[in-house]
This record gives sequence, C-alpha cells and structure tokens, in this order.
Amino acid sequence: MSGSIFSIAVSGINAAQTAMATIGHNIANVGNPEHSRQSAVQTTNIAQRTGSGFIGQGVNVSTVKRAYSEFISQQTNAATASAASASEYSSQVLSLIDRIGDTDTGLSGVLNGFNASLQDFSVRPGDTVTRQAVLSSAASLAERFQALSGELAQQQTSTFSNIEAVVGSVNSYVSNIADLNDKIALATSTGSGTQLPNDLLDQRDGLIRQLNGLIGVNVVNQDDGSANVFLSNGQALVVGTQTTALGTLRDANAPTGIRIGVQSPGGVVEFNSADIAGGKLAALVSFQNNELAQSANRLGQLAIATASAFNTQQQFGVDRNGADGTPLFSLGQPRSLYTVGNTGTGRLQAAITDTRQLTGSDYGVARTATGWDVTRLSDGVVRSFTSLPQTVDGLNVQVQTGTAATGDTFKIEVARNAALDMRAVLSDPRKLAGAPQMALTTATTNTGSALASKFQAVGDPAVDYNSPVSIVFTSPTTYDIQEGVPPYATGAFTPPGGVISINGWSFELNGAPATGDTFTVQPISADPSGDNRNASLLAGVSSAKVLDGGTLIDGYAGLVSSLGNRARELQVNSQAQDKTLSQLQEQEQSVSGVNLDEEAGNLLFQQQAYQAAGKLLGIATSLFQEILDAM
Amino acid sequence: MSIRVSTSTMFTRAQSSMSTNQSKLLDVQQQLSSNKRILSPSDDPVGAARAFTLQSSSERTAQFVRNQDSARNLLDVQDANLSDAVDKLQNLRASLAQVNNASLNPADRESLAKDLEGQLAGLLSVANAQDESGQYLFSGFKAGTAPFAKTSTGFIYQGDTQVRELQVSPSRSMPLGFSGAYLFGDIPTGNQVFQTASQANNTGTGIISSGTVIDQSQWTGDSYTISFNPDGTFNVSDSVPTTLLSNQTFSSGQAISFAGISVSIEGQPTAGVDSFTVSPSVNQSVFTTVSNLVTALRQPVNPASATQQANLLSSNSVNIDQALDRLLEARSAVGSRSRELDELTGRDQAVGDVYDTEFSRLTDVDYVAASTEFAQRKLAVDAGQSTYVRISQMSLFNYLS
Repeated sequence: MSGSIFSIAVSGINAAQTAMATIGHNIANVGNPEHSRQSAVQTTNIAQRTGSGFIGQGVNVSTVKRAYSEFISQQTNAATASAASASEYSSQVLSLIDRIGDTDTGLSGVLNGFNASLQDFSVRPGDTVTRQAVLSSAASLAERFQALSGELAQQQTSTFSNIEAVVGSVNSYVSNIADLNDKIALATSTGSGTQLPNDLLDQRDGLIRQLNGLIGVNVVNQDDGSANVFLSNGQALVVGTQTTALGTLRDANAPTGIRIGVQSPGGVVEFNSADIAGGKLAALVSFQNNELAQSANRLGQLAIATASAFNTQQQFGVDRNGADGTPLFSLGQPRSLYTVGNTGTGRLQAAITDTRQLTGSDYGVARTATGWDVTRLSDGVVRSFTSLPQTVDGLNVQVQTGTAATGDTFKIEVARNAALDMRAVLSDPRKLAGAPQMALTTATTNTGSALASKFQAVGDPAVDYNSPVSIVFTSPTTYDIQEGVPPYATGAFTPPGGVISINGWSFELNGAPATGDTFTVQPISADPSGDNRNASLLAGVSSAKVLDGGTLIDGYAGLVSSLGNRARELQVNSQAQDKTLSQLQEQEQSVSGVNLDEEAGNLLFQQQAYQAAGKLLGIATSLFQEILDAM
Repeated sequence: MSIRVSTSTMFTRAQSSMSTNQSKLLDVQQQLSSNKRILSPSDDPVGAARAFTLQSSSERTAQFVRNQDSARNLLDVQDANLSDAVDKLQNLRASLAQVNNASLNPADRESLAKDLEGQLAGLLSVANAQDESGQYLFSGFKAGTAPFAKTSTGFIYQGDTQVRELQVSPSRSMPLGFSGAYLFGDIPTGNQVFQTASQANNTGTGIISSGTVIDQSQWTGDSYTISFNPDGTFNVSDSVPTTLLSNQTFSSGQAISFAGISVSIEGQPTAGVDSFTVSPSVNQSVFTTVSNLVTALRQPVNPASATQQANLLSSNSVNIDQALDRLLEARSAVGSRSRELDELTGRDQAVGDVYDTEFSRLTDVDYVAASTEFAQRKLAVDAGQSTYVRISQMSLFNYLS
C-alpha cells in the first residue's frame, strides 16, 4: 500500500521535474525566434484495479509537445517571401531613382545649360567665346549621360553580384534543411514513433522561414517529420535528404545580364524568370529584367534622340570656315546578341553609321532561306535583304564571324549602350555650324496667302543639301516638287497648313497658296560669320518634340516620374506586406511564443506540485517508519 | 478572450514603433536643418519628378528672359549707333541749309564741300561700326565683312539684307537690328515713288520740285519727260513716247499734274531747250547722295550751272531727308521692340515666379508643418521610451524570491 504511495509521489516529483525542465527550456529560449513554446503533457498512470475499485497510480509525462500551427506557419512563410520581395524591390527602385533622379545630378541641369549656351551662340554666332562655351557644355552633357549610364551599369553589376550571393545562400539553406531532415527522420525512427524532436523541427522551420526571405518556397511536411521544399513552379529543392542546387549564368549574350536555373550535370538549366516568385531573389530578378533594363534602354533612347536631333541640325549647317557641319555627338556602339539555340555559328556585328537616322529602336535579325530579315522592333517594320552587310536606319549590320543557319535569330540592342559611351566629338569651336546650308525663299510673285516658316533639318534618311528644290503649286491643294528634270514628283497640301519634308529638310506652310505660287529651297554660299539661322535652330532643338512627341527634358522627366510612380507603388506595397507579415508573426507568436509571466506562473505551479509530491513522499516514508517502529 | 501575447512580441512591438518614430524624427530634423523637404528623390519620388518638370519650365522661362536681355542689349548698341548716325545726318542737313544761300563764293563752297566730306567719313564709320568681338554691326549675316566700301565707281554695299533673329518667346523671333542696306544703302530717292531731275543741258532757271503723289493707282512706274516747246508751252510724254499733255501754258510754281502725280517748276526754263524728267524712285545709298552733293558743290559756278547745281542740291537734299526718315523709322522700330521686350520680360518673370513658387512649395520645407511634426514625433519617441522602460520592468520573476 505504502509502496503505491511511494511510486505515486515519485511519479508526481518526476512529472513536476520534467514540466519544470520544459519551462526552464522555454525561459532559456525566450530570445530565440525559432523556438516554439514547449509543454510537458502529463497523463495519469493506469489505475490499479482492486476490489474496492480503481486506485490511481500517479502521473507520467506522455510527451513534450511544441505549440505549433502548421496553417499559420505556412501563411507566415508565404508572407515572409512576399514582404522580403516587396521590400527588396522597393529599396532597389528607390536606390535607382536616387542615382538618376536627383535634380542636381540629373540630366535637366546640363541639358538646360547646353541650351543656354546655344542661345548665346545664336546671339553672337561669330564670337569664339560663345562657340567654345557650346562645346564645353556639349561635353558636360555627354559626360552626364555617361555618368548616369555608369550609375545604372554599377547598379546592374551590384544586382548581378547580389543575385549570385542570394543563389549561393539559397543553396546553403537547401543543404542545411536536407541535413536537418535527415536528423529528424533518424530521431523519429529511433524513438517510439510518436515522439518528435521539437527542437530540430524548430531549427528546420526556422531555416525554411529564412529561405523564404530569399526565395518563395512551398513546404510539404512528411509523416517522418521531414519536410519537402518546392519552388513555386514545382521544382523540388529538397525532397527528404535529396537536394537540388540553383545556379547562375553570367552571359554577355543575355539581353538582361544574369540568368538563373537549376544545376544539372550538363550545366545550368535555365528557368523562366516568372518561375521565381517571392523572396529577395524574385525582386532582384524582376528589377534587373524590368526597371533596370528599361531605365538603361530609355536613357539610351534619350541619348540617341539627343545626339540625333543635335547632329541633324548641326550637319544641316555650315561652320565658321564655310564647310559642312560635322556631328556634335557620338554614341556607344550597339550590342549584337545571338539567340541561345541557334544552330549556326554566325555572330553579327552592328555599328552606327549615321546618328541622324537612328530611331532608338532595337532590331531583330533573322536568317531566312533566301537571305536576311531585319525587323524594327518598335513598329514591326521588316526589311528583307539577300545578303549582309546592309545599312538600316543609320546602322550597319554585318556578319562578324561564322555562318548562320536558316532560322537563326539575332537581336541588335541599339539603345542599351548608347548613353554609356556618348561623347561630344567637336573640339574646334569654328566647327560649330551657325549658318544654314540651304535657304528657303518665297517667290515675290506669289499671289496666295501661304506663309512658309520653320525651315529646318529633319532626320530624313535621304539627306541631300545640294539640290535646289522648288515647290510649285499646280492648284491650291497640289504642288510639283521641281527637282532635277521633269517629270516631277507631286505632293498634296491640305489647308490651313502642313509640313513639306524633302531631302532631309522640312518647312511649314500655312495659309492658302494660289496656283503658280513657288517656294524655293536652295543651297546658299555666303560669308557665314554673322548668320545665326542654324544656331537658332540648334537652340530650338531643346524645345522641339524629338522624342515620342515630347522634348528631351520631357523624356527625362518621364523616365524619372515613371520610376517615381513605380517606387511609390512598390513602397506602398512593401508597407502593406510588412504589415501583413507582422500581423501573422504576432499570431504565430501568440501560438508559439514564450510569455515569461506565463512561464513564471507555471513554474510556481509545478514547484508547488513538486513540493506537494515531495511532502507525499515524506508522509509515505513516515508511514513506513511507523510500521517499522511498531514492529 | 484576449489574445495571448508572447514576451518577444511585447518587446519587438515597442521597439519597432520607437525606431519608426525615431527615424521619422531624424528625417524631420534633417528637413528642418537643410530647408529641403525632399532630401533625396526617394523621399517623394512623385514629387521629385514633378520638381524636375517645374525646374525645366522655370529654366526655360529664365532662358527667354536672358534672351530678351541679350536682344535688348544688342538693340541698345544698334540704337546708340543709329542715334549717332541721325545726329550726323542732321548736322549735314544744317550745313546744306547754307548752300541755298546764293551769296556763297567758290571758297565758301569748297569749305562746305570739305565739311560734307568729313561728315561723309563720319557717317561711313558709323555704318561700318564693329562690336567688341570685331563683328560688323550692319553687314547682315556677313558679319566678317565691312558693309560699305568706296570703289572707283562709288559706294558699294558688301553685306547682305538678312538680319539675325533671336527667339525671345516660344512664338516670337525678334530681329536684332537692321542691315546696312536697309539703314544706309537702299534709300529710295525722291519722294519714294518717283524722282525728278533737270536735263544736264538746261540753260534756264527752272528748278523742279520733288513732287507729290495724288493718286497712287494712276502711277504706272514709267518715266516721263516735261519738255519746253519753242513757244514757251510744254509737253509731257511717257517713255514710248506718247504725249500725255501738249502745249500746256507754263507758269512758275504751278502744279503740273499727270499719271496721278504732281510736280512744279520754279523759275523760267528756256523755251525750246530745257526739259525735265520724272522717273520711278530708285534705291541709292546715303553715301552716294552725300558724295553727289559734294560733286555738285565743286562744280564751277556760272549762271547756267547754278541752276543745274540748284536742281542737283534740291533733289539730293530730298534724298538726305529720306535717309534721315529711314534712320528715324529704324530708331522707332528699336523703341517699339524694346517696349515689346519689356512686356515679354515682365510676363516671363511673373510666369517664372509662379514656377519658382511651386517648385519651392514642392521641395522646400514648410517650417510650420515640419516644426509641428517634429514636436509630435518627439512626443511619440519620449512616450515610447518611457513606456518601454515600464514594460521591460514588468515581470512576475520580480516577485519570485
């Protein structure tokens, strides 16, 4: 009888001890974010059946359980991935806008400065000092383009190394998770089968949580306690103890730089970029493929528009020596990429031959059975040739090495590097073209009311500044273009006004011309020292709509403001994701977190239980002593 | 049922709100000390982009104001030279007034001719004026070429008729002056429509007036001859010749009207010998006019040539008046352009102010709002700190001994 009291008392002491050890473990891990609150589950021992009924036999600790909600944990994992992605994305775009959108270091200041110097030049076209000022500010403009482009290149480089570092971390997390899976399975199998190694589970779940910060993964828990980890596209990263490593490809031929895939014996098998969702990696990949690539492209297009517009006007004029104007700016050369999977060995090369004709678009080139198709990607215009080299829109395209097979495709990126190597190429101030090569005259015998104005150079492929052309109206709405010998080309005029564009120049005609009215454009050869007509046109380029219906400044402001809007959107998204994450974290903590007051209470409770059981043991001992004494 | 709060949640929550408030406090402090609301574009990406456009608009307006200043300065330089030329022409005219005094002896005439030659040189130097960088002011686009030069055949204009223009507003291109051709070179002779002259072999004392246009629509632009018949009457014929008026009675100073114009002849032309011509006005440089005057003054004096000279002096004096009118016209154009520039500058400065105000509103700190926010954030940080300390002290373990 007293033996049973002994064992009951001992069972109570043991149970209280285990409970207090568990509480101590909780208290010790209060600062460990991975730790889930554990509790010792006490179960009554099987009662002894006697004639007087079932007599309780004390207590035992059936298991130590961790407070864990798989549902909340999975949700928190997903939220961690989204929040990490949003926060990384937002900070990358903000850093991008800080690099290129500052009012002091941006483009607008130097563009305005260049414009101001051209205005001064148009006031005093003969003055060497004003000419020199134009060249200096042109150089500043080109340097600023280079600097901004350099900032983008730098951010790209840092994004590359970031991606490589993140991929490295993902791989090490993956292998650590597999190691823990192994230990967990081993611990589970050697135990009674129902006892789980709580701390190992916590550790592994913590790693999965951190992995989610890098890349969004789905987790499927297995019966043996191990967890299988998959990417959002279904690619397994961890199955039991088997792992799959990610790899990166830094390929100069890749349009956007770095590519990500799965490492296999044959090399890296590339992912579709949409396959990566959530986590820092998704943000970096998306940032590199979108905002960064687009910004570099748009900056390049801006550089192309700038060089093209100013060169067009400069080349329309004659310089102080009476010679034809030569280009003011040069641009970085295009990149020519081959498509992975081409069967031929051919590689293309493209070079800028005339900045005036550049469109800012990229080009697709395809080897066909009969020759080559060159497609302008901005509007899909295809030009077919039987052979290369060919000149298209101011670009010379040729085969650099090898032979292309039918069906091989290539891409020529014109804008990407244009700004990176933009230069102001004039060094002699006398070479600025202040005077025009041609002049527009309105015949004094005209009887209609049409006024010709805004005679200027335009980016027309067929530049001809030497042939005199007369526009002679054959009716109030039609005209002959008298150039060379008859028969002449004709044109149609729609009152009240329109632009007539021929040979690389254009002028505006407003009003009602009468039959026989004549407007003549012809070369002029005069002392150009005081002629500021071309200088004025150069100064007017800044306010001309040369880029997608806007001015150069508009183009730059558009770039910054679209980045700004994107940044704002991402900021708001990131704040919302953070909020969701912290709510889920609090929920999770509310289930799994340690509350010291609670533990203190439990500790006191278990201490009392221990004391009571100890007292019981004392009583059992004294009972036994009583009997011994009685004997 | 209240939610279970873990100890770490209590701490992280308190810490995160404290650090949020602290970083905002620091931001406001930086804003206040730098007077900039947008410290870097990422602070307000949308605002930064808008600031950009405003800055460009403001720069563009300021550029137009600068162009207007340049235009004003250049016009002022032109005006100073024009004013100089006007003075010289007026002096010349005053000298000419003496010529009509018939009592002048040859020596007086020679000294007057010398005087006119001096003034001619002065006028020529004004017309060939250069700016500080050696560019000629009045040679049109050929700024490197002296506009007027004297050759064996007279004065020639070597510039062109173009004038530099400067964009002073988006829609206004302002001419920065005048070409020498307009100012000095191409001055219409006579009354701008036609000129009168006496035949070189006239022997009478008839001096023909410069005449007036009565009806422009009847003026054909032909040349006409008024010839005196042996009986003292006169005929008027055109260049064909078709006789328009025949055997008209002559009376000194009486109007002779034909082809929409009217001239008069003072004095007594010699019957059967003298004739006068009326021809369309041509362009003649003021320098040619002055040198014609000098030549006329140096002609030997006899009764016949006196009339001849008087005719020459009379017709060239009219030409001097035309030249003076041209200069005064140019000066008045300069004046109205300057006024237009002032108006444009006034308007553009007002527009620029609007841009600048908007830019400043967008990028500069609103001190009242920022100071208020600073106080609020400081209060929040203080409150956060004091409650954090209390929360952190709160533990059941404090009571376990």
